[in-house]
Amino acid sequence: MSKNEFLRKLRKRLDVLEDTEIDDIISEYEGYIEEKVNAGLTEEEAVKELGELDLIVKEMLAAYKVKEKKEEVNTDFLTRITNKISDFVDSFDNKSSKDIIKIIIEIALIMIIIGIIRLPFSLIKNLGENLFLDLGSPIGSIFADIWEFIIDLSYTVIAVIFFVKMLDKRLFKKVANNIVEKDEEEKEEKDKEYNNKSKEIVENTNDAQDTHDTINQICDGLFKAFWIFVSFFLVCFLIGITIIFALMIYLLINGVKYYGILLLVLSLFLGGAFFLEVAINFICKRKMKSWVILTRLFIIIVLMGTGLTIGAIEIANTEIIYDYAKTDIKTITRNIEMKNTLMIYNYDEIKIDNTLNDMVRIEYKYPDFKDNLKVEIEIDKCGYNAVCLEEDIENFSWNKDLFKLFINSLKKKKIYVNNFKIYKTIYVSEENYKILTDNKNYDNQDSYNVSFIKTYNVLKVTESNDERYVYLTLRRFQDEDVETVKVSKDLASSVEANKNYEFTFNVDLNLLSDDFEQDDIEDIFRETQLVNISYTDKLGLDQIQENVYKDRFRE
Amino acid sequence: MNTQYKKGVLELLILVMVEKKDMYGYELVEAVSKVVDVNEGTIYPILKRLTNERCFDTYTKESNEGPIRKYYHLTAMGKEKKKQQLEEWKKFSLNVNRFIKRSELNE
Repeated sequence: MSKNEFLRKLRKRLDVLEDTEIDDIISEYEGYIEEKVNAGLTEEEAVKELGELDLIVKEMLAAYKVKEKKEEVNTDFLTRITNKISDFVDSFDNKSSKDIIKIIIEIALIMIIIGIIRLPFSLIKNLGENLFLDLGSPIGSIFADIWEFIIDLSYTVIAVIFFVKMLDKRLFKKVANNIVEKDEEEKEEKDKEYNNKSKEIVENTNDAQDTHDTINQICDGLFKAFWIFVSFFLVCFLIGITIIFALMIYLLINGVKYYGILLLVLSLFLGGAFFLEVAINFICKRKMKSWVILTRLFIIIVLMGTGLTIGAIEIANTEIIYDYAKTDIKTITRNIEMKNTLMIYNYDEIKIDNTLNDMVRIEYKYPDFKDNLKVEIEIDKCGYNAVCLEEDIENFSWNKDLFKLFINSLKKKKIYVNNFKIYKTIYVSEENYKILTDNKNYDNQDSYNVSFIKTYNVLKVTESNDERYVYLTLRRFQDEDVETVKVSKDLASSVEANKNYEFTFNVDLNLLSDDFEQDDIEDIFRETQLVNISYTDKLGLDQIQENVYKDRFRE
Repeated sequence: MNTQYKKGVLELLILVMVEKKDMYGYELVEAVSKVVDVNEGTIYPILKRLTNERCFDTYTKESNEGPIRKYYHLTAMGKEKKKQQLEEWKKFSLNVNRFIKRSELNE
């Protein structure tokens, strides 16, 4: 056999090894042969002295036992991922800066590709989300959320697989030596332990080796912690989904036929169980075959997709009715006196009943659940001249009647949303109807701001301890009441004693207290906000004294 | 001679040889094959394995005649391994010799 033939055969037989390793081995054997030829042998003789090719290959592969082992490891998907990552961390130890830059560029490239893959996923996600949101009901938005979750999950899984695959192909070929070294070390360490001499070895390993191992341990530990964390949530998720599943089965037995949602819940359960299994296997370092993982994932996604589609159709076919499911209605009425300034908040409907003169009838309607729902009417003053219709619900809980009602309506694919709503109607005479709705119109805004002017005679200006304020002693024309009030210096800077001034105030009428007295200086200064003071030469009855309520309240 | 015997001893021989001075592959192969009758081609895998185990550092050097030579240098870890293996070997051979002598006497 010639040198080249020998080397070619050797190369072919060592094919399972990494390229760099093969090159190294070939050059070494080439060296031997050349040395022997230099020593006077022919190529054929030199090759012959090296011994049988089979034996060389066998020994060589035995020295790389790890490589064969690595092939086995390939089937274990998760261990492989962690191995890659720890190998990756290892690889920085022995790499030149040029290599590291290369790695960074490669990772950046992979990230960009993963980012591009994201686009179609976002598209599908948005499409599905909008579809579900178009259904309109709150359940539609829940489905939109689930859909979003599924798409995000599949994207993450695919991105991770892609990332690992790419690193596997592009990067790890170059760090082959490190992998070999690492595994050999492990093997060596085991041998040493067997010989009870591991301590000596630990002492003799160099520092680089130490950091190496620490990083690996941290890496391993973090991964484990992550999976334990994940499995905790998965267990909670499984418990929840099991309860929902049991409920769905119960509903099915009772004739509520939502197969799509049942399928979806089932697939969520299977998905949770599957991820838990993966997590536990990982924590226990048990192996899982990647095809098993992928087939299961595929089945679960198919189930989920089917469930989601059928469920969406089912929900679209479900009628949502904004009314009571129950025909037994309980009514409570209460009469209150009509006032020109009256405003009523929180009612659902206003109706005309001309038999009512100066009274307003307030009617509360709600489904009769007997002892299970007690409603206490509370008609409270909630602002100046305003009345709020409130209620106090007691004793309300899920009960058999309610549940039956719910199931019966679901059987007909109907959901009564306002099942428990307390419906409030007010009845007034035609005349009062106008006043009430008119008042109400003013109050469509949350606040009702007015500004008014009052003219006061300033009797005295007193400095205050606080530099920002002064005290003004005020009196209104034809009024005996004299009050001293604190006023911001900014507004009262030019105010002098014994002169008349127009005071402008701002107030939100709804915030005025019930006993607010608009002729009382103290009340005005306490409850409204002074915004301006200006001198006036008007005297007596010519002075402006504006009514706080103006025409609105017809006082 | 039994190949399993040789295998165990070859590693020790190589370690002992390289400890004295740095050697290149072919030189080692020649030296080892003088002591033990072995397929020369199978010595290199041992070198490779010991290098992977960090017992050797390698460096290359041009030679006047022939190709560039890869030299093997024994590291601290290699020295430790050699010490350990030598001890084991001594103990092992001593025990075996003793046993054989004893059984010969008993015959």
